[in-house]
Amino acid sequence: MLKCRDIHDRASDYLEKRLSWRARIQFRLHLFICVHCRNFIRQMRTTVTALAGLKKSPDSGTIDNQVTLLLRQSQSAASGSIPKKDR
Amino acid sequence: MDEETLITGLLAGDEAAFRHVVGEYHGLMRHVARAIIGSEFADEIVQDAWVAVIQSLPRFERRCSLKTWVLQIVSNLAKTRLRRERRSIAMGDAADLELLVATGQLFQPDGHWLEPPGNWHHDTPELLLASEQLRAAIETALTALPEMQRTVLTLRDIEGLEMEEICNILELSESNGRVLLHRARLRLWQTIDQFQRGEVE
Repeated sequence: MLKCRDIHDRASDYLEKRLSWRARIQFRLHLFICVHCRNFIRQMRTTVTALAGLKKSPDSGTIDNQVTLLLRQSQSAASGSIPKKDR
Repeated sequence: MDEETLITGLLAGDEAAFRHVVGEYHGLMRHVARAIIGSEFADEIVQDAWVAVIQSLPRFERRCSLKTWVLQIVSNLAKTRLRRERRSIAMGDAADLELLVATGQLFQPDGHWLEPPGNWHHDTPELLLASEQLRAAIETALTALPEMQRTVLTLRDIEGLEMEEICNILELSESNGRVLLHRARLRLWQTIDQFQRGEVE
Protein backbone atom coordinates (compact mmCIF):
# COMPACT_ATOMS: atom_id res chain seq x y z
CA MET A 1 0.00 0.00 0.00
CA LEU A 2 1.43 3.38 -0.95
CA LYS A 3 2.01 6.02 1.71
CA CYS A 4 1.29 9.73 1.36
CA ARG A 5 5.03 10.22 1.07
CA ASP A 6 5.14 7.96 -2.00
CA ILE A 7 2.40 10.04 -3.61
CA HIS A 8 4.41 13.18 -2.90
CA ASP A 9 7.61 11.66 -4.30
CA ARG A 10 6.07 10.24 -7.48
CA ALA A 11 3.51 12.90 -8.32
CA SER A 12 5.28 14.09 -11.47
CA ASP A 13 5.58 10.53 -12.80
CA TYR A 14 1.84 10.16 -12.21
CA LEU A 15 0.99 13.47 -13.87
CA GLU A 16 3.29 12.67 -16.81
CA LYS A 17 1.72 9.19 -17.10
CA ARG A 18 5.04 7.49 -16.58
CA LEU A 19 3.96 4.94 -13.97
CA SER A 20 3.48 1.31 -14.88
CA TRP A 21 -0.20 0.29 -14.95
CA ARG A 22 0.23 -1.54 -11.66
CA ALA A 23 1.82 1.48 -9.97
CA ARG A 24 -0.85 3.71 -11.46
CA ILE A 25 -3.62 1.58 -9.99
CA GLN A 26 -1.92 1.64 -6.57
CA PHE A 27 -1.55 5.38 -6.89
CA ARG A 28 -5.21 5.88 -7.75
CA LEU A 29 -6.30 3.58 -4.94
CA HIS A 30 -4.42 5.76 -2.49
CA LEU A 31 -5.97 8.90 -3.97
CA PHE A 32 -9.39 7.31 -3.61
CA ILE A 33 -8.99 6.93 0.14
CA CYS A 34 -6.83 9.99 0.97
CA VAL A 35 -8.31 13.46 0.72
CA HIS A 36 -4.97 15.14 1.51
CA CYS A 37 -3.22 13.46 -1.38
CA ARG A 38 -6.13 14.21 -3.73
CA ASN A 39 -5.73 17.80 -2.69
CA PHE A 40 -1.98 17.65 -3.23
CA ILE A 41 -2.24 16.13 -6.71
CA ARG A 42 -4.87 18.70 -7.72
CA GLN A 43 -2.56 21.47 -6.51
CA MET A 44 0.44 20.02 -8.34
CA ARG A 45 -1.59 19.82 -11.53
CA THR A 46 -2.72 23.43 -11.05
CA THR A 47 0.89 24.51 -10.45
CA VAL A 48 2.15 22.78 -13.59
CA THR A 49 -0.65 24.20 -15.75
CA ALA A 50 -0.09 27.70 -14.37
CA LEU A 51 3.60 27.55 -15.31
CA ALA A 52 2.72 27.42 -19.00
CA GLY A 53 1.21 30.89 -18.52
CA LEU A 54 4.62 32.31 -17.56
CA LYS A 55 6.06 32.05 -21.05
CA LYS A 56 7.57 35.35 -22.11
CA SER A 57 9.74 36.73 -24.87
CA PRO A 58 12.95 38.69 -24.41
CA ASP A 59 12.61 42.48 -24.38
CA SER A 60 12.44 44.31 -27.70
CA GLY A 61 15.95 45.80 -27.30
CA THR A 62 17.51 42.34 -27.11
CA ILE A 63 15.45 41.20 -30.07
CA ASP A 64 16.46 44.23 -32.17
CA ASN A 65 20.17 43.78 -31.48
CA GLN A 66 20.04 40.08 -32.16
CA VAL A 67 18.04 40.44 -35.37
CA THR A 68 20.48 43.03 -36.71
CA LEU A 69 23.37 40.68 -36.00
CA LEU A 70 21.59 37.74 -37.63
CA LEU A 71 20.70 39.68 -40.76
CA ARG A 72 24.31 40.74 -41.15
CA GLN A 73 25.44 37.19 -40.55
CA SER A 74 23.02 35.69 -43.05
CA GLN A 75 24.03 38.21 -45.70
CA SER A 76 27.69 37.34 -45.31
CA ALA A 77 26.84 33.62 -45.29
CA ALA A 78 24.82 34.04 -48.48
CA SER A 79 27.65 35.86 -50.24
CA GLY A 80 30.30 33.50 -48.86
CA SER A 81 30.91 29.80 -49.18
CA ILE A 82 27.35 28.70 -48.51
CA PRO A 83 25.38 28.36 -51.75
CA LYS A 84 22.71 30.96 -52.35
CA LYS A 85 19.16 29.83 -51.90
CA ASP A 86 16.28 30.80 -54.14
CA ARG A 87 15.15 34.32 -53.38
CA MET B 1 4.21 31.05 -38.57
CA ASP B 2 4.63 27.35 -39.44
CA GLU B 3 8.08 25.80 -39.37
CA GLU B 4 8.59 25.44 -43.13
CA THR B 5 7.65 29.09 -43.75
CA LEU B 6 9.98 30.04 -40.94
CA ILE B 7 12.92 28.07 -42.33
CA THR B 8 12.35 29.44 -45.83
CA GLY B 9 12.19 32.95 -44.37
CA LEU B 10 15.42 32.45 -42.43
CA LEU B 11 17.22 31.10 -45.48
CA ALA B 12 16.01 34.09 -47.50
CA GLY B 13 17.23 36.53 -44.83
CA ASP B 14 13.70 37.68 -44.02
CA GLU B 15 13.67 40.06 -41.03
CA ALA B 16 10.23 38.95 -39.79
CA ALA B 17 11.44 35.33 -39.62
CA PHE B 18 14.53 36.36 -37.65
CA ARG B 19 12.42 38.47 -35.31
CA HIS B 20 10.14 35.49 -34.72
CA VAL B 21 12.91 32.98 -33.92
CA VAL B 22 14.80 35.40 -31.71
CA GLY B 23 11.61 36.15 -29.76
CA GLU B 24 10.83 32.47 -29.40
CA TYR B 25 14.27 30.93 -28.87
CA HIS B 26 16.71 33.48 -27.46
CA GLY B 27 15.59 33.13 -23.83
CA LEU B 28 15.54 29.36 -24.09
CA MET B 29 19.02 29.29 -25.60
CA ARG B 30 20.32 31.31 -22.65
CA HIS B 31 18.65 28.88 -20.24
CA VAL B 32 20.35 25.90 -21.87
CA ALA B 33 23.75 27.63 -22.09
CA ARG B 34 23.57 28.77 -18.46
CA ALA B 35 22.55 25.31 -17.28
CA ILE B 36 25.60 23.74 -18.90
CA ILE B 37 28.34 26.33 -18.54
CA GLY B 38 27.04 28.95 -16.09
CA SER B 39 26.13 32.59 -16.65
CA GLU B 40 29.70 33.79 -17.18
CA PHE B 41 29.95 32.34 -20.69
CA ALA B 42 26.27 31.92 -21.55
CA ASP B 43 25.83 35.06 -23.66
CA GLU B 44 28.95 34.32 -25.67
CA ILE B 45 27.77 30.76 -26.33
CA VAL B 46 24.35 32.01 -27.45
CA GLN B 47 25.97 34.46 -29.88
CA ASP B 48 28.16 31.69 -31.32
CA ALA B 49 25.12 29.44 -31.53
CA TRP B 50 23.15 31.99 -33.58
CA VAL B 51 26.02 32.22 -36.04
CA ALA B 52 26.20 28.41 -36.23
CA VAL B 53 22.43 28.24 -36.77
CA ILE B 54 22.61 30.63 -39.73
CA GLN B 55 25.58 28.82 -41.24
CA SER B 56 24.13 25.33 -40.78
CA LEU B 57 20.51 26.04 -41.63
CA PRO B 58 20.84 25.07 -45.33
CA ARG B 59 21.93 21.64 -44.11
CA PHE B 60 19.16 21.24 -41.49
CA GLU B 61 17.67 17.80 -42.19
CA ARG B 62 14.42 18.22 -40.24
CA ARG B 63 14.92 15.08 -38.16
CA CYS B 64 13.64 17.05 -35.18
CA SER B 65 11.89 20.37 -34.68
CA LEU B 66 13.77 23.57 -35.47
CA LYS B 67 13.63 24.50 -31.79
CA THR B 68 15.22 21.22 -30.67
CA TRP B 69 17.87 21.53 -33.37
CA VAL B 70 18.76 25.07 -32.31
CA LEU B 71 18.92 24.06 -28.63
CA GLN B 72 21.09 21.09 -29.54
CA ILE B 73 23.56 23.47 -31.20
CA VAL B 74 23.66 25.60 -28.04
CA SER B 75 24.17 22.50 -25.94
CA ASN B 76 27.03 21.21 -28.13
CA LEU B 77 28.82 24.55 -28.16
CA ALA B 78 28.41 24.95 -24.40
CA LYS B 79 29.78 21.47 -23.77
CA THR B 80 32.75 22.01 -26.07
CA ARG B 81 33.51 25.26 -24.30
CA LEU B 82 33.11 23.60 -20.95
CA ARG B 83 35.72 20.99 -21.83
CA ARG B 84 38.03 23.79 -22.88
CA GLU B 85 37.48 25.63 -19.63
CA ARG B 86 38.10 22.33 -17.81
CA ARG B 87 35.17 22.82 -15.53
CA SER B 88 32.81 20.10 -14.43
CA ILE B 89 29.19 20.17 -15.49
CA ALA B 90 26.95 22.15 -13.15
CA MET B 91 28.47 20.72 -10.00
CA GLY B 92 25.86 22.07 -7.64
CA ASP B 93 23.04 20.33 -9.47
CA ALA B 94 24.93 17.06 -9.94
CA ALA B 95 25.56 16.88 -6.20
CA ASP B 96 21.96 17.86 -5.64
CA LEU B 97 20.82 14.82 -7.57
CA GLU B 98 22.40 12.53 -5.01
CA LEU B 99 20.03 13.84 -2.39
CA LEU B 100 16.53 12.58 -2.09
CA VAL B 101 13.75 15.12 -2.19
CA ALA B 102 13.87 16.91 1.12
CA THR B 103 10.60 15.61 2.41
CA GLY B 104 11.62 14.83 5.96
CA GLN B 105 9.81 17.77 7.52
CA LEU B 106 6.57 17.13 5.61
CA PHE B 107 5.87 13.57 6.72
CA GLN B 108 5.51 11.50 9.86
CA PRO B 109 7.79 8.47 10.23
CA ASP B 110 4.90 6.24 9.06
CA GLY B 111 4.71 8.16 5.76
CA HIS B 112 1.56 10.17 6.44
CA TRP B 113 1.41 13.94 6.00
CA LEU B 114 2.69 15.79 9.07
CA GLU B 115 0.96 18.91 7.87
CA PRO B 116 -1.41 18.15 4.99
CA PRO B 117 -1.60 20.54 2.03
CA GLY B 118 -3.84 23.51 2.84
CA ASN B 119 -6.93 24.50 0.91
CA TRP B 120 -5.98 26.95 -1.80
CA HIS B 121 -7.97 30.13 -2.13
CA HIS B 122 -6.53 30.61 -5.65
CA ASP B 123 -7.22 27.09 -6.85
CA THR B 124 -7.10 27.32 -10.66
CA PRO B 125 -4.13 28.15 -12.91
CA GLU B 126 -5.89 31.36 -13.99
CA LEU B 127 -6.45 32.49 -10.39
CA LEU B 128 -2.85 31.68 -9.46
CA LEU B 129 -1.53 33.97 -12.16
CA ALA B 130 -4.21 36.64 -11.70
CA SER B 131 -2.83 37.52 -8.25
CA GLU B 132 0.08 39.85 -8.94
CA GLN B 133 1.77 39.08 -5.63
CA LEU B 134 1.45 35.34 -6.11
CA ARG B 135 2.72 35.56 -9.66
CA ALA B 136 5.74 37.50 -8.41
CA ALA B 137 6.31 34.86 -5.70
CA ILE B 138 6.23 32.11 -8.33
CA GLU B 139 8.67 34.00 -10.55
CA THR B 140 11.03 34.62 -7.62
CA ALA B 141 10.91 30.92 -6.68
CA LEU B 142 11.63 30.02 -10.28
CA THR B 143 14.68 32.30 -10.34
CA ALA B 144 15.93 30.83 -7.06
CA LEU B 145 15.89 27.23 -8.35
CA PRO B 146 19.27 25.57 -9.03
CA GLU B 147 20.21 26.22 -12.69
CA MET B 148 19.64 22.70 -14.01
CA GLN B 149 16.28 22.33 -12.23
CA ARG B 150 15.13 25.67 -13.59
CA THR B 151 16.17 24.74 -17.12
CA VAL B 152 14.41 21.38 -17.07
CA LEU B 153 11.25 22.94 -15.61
CA THR B 154 11.32 25.83 -18.09
CA LEU B 155 11.80 23.58 -21.10
CA ARG B 156 9.13 21.12 -19.94
CA ASP B 157 6.40 23.11 -18.21
CA ILE B 158 6.79 26.57 -19.72
CA GLU B 159 7.95 25.68 -23.23
CA GLY B 160 6.29 22.28 -23.53
CA LEU B 161 9.23 20.24 -24.88
CA GLU B 162 9.13 16.44 -24.45
CA MET B 163 11.26 15.00 -21.63
CA GLU B 164 13.21 12.87 -24.11
CA GLU B 165 14.22 15.98 -26.06
CA ILE B 166 15.17 17.83 -22.89
CA CYS B 167 17.33 14.99 -21.58
CA ASN B 168 18.97 14.77 -24.98
CA ILE B 169 19.75 18.49 -25.14
CA LEU B 170 21.08 18.64 -21.58
CA GLU B 171 22.71 15.18 -21.71
CA LEU B 172 20.83 13.94 -18.68
CA SER B 173 19.75 10.39 -18.06
CA GLU B 174 15.98 10.06 -18.18
CA SER B 175 15.76 9.32 -14.46
CA ASN B 176 17.90 12.33 -13.53
CA GLY B 177 15.79 14.54 -15.76
CA ARG B 178 12.65 13.34 -14.05
CA VAL B 179 14.10 13.88 -10.58
CA LEU B 180 15.15 17.43 -11.49
CA LEU B 181 11.72 18.21 -12.91
CA HIS B 182 9.93 16.84 -9.88
CA ARG B 183 12.15 18.67 -7.40
CA ALA B 184 11.59 21.94 -9.24
CA ARG B 185 7.83 21.44 -9.32
CA LEU B 186 7.75 20.59 -5.63
CA ARG B 187 9.58 23.79 -4.76
CA LEU B 188 7.08 25.84 -6.74
CA TRP B 189 4.17 23.98 -5.20
CA GLN B 190 5.60 24.69 -1.73
CA THR B 191 6.01 28.36 -2.58
CA ILE B 192 2.38 28.63 -3.70
CA ASP B 193 1.15 26.61 -0.71
CA GLN B 194 3.05 28.80 1.74
CA PHE B 195 1.80 31.94 0.04
CA GLN B 196 -1.81 30.83 0.24
CA ARG B 197 -1.48 29.75 3.89
CA GLY B 198 -0.01 33.17 4.65
CA GLU B 199 -2.96 34.86 3.00
CA VAL B 200 -5.44 32.95 5.14
CA GLU B 201 -3.64 33.64 8.43
